[in-house]
Amino acid sequence: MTAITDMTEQEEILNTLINQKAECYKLVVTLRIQNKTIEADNVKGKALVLSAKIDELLGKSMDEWVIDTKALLDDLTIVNKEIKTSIDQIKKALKTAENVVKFLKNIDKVIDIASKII
Amino acid sequence: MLRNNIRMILAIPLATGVLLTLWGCPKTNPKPFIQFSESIQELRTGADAALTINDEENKERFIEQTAAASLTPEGADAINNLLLTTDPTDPFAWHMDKTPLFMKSQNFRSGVYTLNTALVKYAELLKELSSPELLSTERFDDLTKDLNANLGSASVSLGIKDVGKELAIFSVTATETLHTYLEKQRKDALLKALRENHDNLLELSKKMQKAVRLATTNLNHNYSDESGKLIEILADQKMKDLNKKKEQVKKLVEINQVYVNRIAVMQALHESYAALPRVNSDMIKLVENPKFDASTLKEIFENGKHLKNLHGELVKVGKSNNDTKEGGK
Repeated sequence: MTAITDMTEQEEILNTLINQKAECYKLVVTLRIQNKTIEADNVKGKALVLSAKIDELLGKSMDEWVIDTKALLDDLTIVNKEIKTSIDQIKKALKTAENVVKFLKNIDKVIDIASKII
Repeated sequence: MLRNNIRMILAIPLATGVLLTLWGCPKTNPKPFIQFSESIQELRTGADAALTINDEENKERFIEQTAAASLTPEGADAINNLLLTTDPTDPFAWHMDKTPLFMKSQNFRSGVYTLNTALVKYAELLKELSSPELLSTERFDDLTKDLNANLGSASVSLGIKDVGKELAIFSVTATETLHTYLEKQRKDALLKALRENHDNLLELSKKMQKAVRLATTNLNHNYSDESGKLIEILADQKMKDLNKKKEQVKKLVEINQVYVNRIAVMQALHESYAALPRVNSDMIKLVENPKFDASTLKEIFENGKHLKNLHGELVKVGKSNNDTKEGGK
């Protein structure tokens, strides 16, 4: 298993809130079994408040992630363009060699004509 | 005189060719780059599929919570939030008092996909750069044949005889020299790309791991709300029908199984993204020394295949769950 060393405080808070929400749901079950309806409703209300809070925090974290990755995306786009240029240069070098050979073929014809005249 | 000149012309590339061949430039093995490219595509597919499921569940939860809130005395805000407002100065702008999570997670998924696409493009370019197609043997063979034919006819035109063998050596050497030169240029370009992009990959690895963790948090959040609701129904003391209880238990067991599978997908994604910098380092070593045993590449390739299988299972389970829901309606 990969050790998660880069987890932020915000992520830990989120995970803790989700755990607390799950505990609330378990408590609701215990209270329902004991027919303590009012208490169960109260705890369920807390779970729903926690759920809304988690939604808010999670949405904020996602927004931040999108903003944080913009610079990296630009860098990657530049790197990809550079690799593409390298590929094009190799293709061009090979094409040039082929063109030179074609050019030589034409020169041959000129030499052939010239040698007949001489 | 002409004959001597031709011999001199032949000697120069022959010597260069021998030097370049001695200097040595082993061909780049394209297989690891093909595997890398395939694995990265699996990563993108796996991540997008996992995030799409989250989006759908976030949306479902929003609908359910808003509908429930509309029945409460404090429900006005939740209802009003459904009415988007416009901007008098900008006909294309819209506003929502409180953007729901599903809209944010859709934007997040799009960001993850875009970053993954940049990574896919990088892997594809590396594959193209290492591909035998780029410097295909056929093209060099044709070049040799054409050069040989051209020089042969030129020498005949100039009245030079008995140099056929030397001209053939010349054309082979000339194209081999070019091949070796371009092979070296390819290797240098690959190394440059891999080395210069290493820091970016390190950063990308961290960002994507964080993205997977956020998506997993989202998954945990949705799971606890869904199963929390179901265990509460199961605990309802007014419900005495054992068959109905069994149905609830069955639903919970199925939800748990799907959840465990989805966590496994997330973990495979997290591990694969964590391995990216090591894979890049191994690819550098592999280009430097084609005999290098790049175990991380095998690891990420196996992880990619594992991810594909897990994802396939998830789609099947998801489909069967939807069928159950449809059937239950």
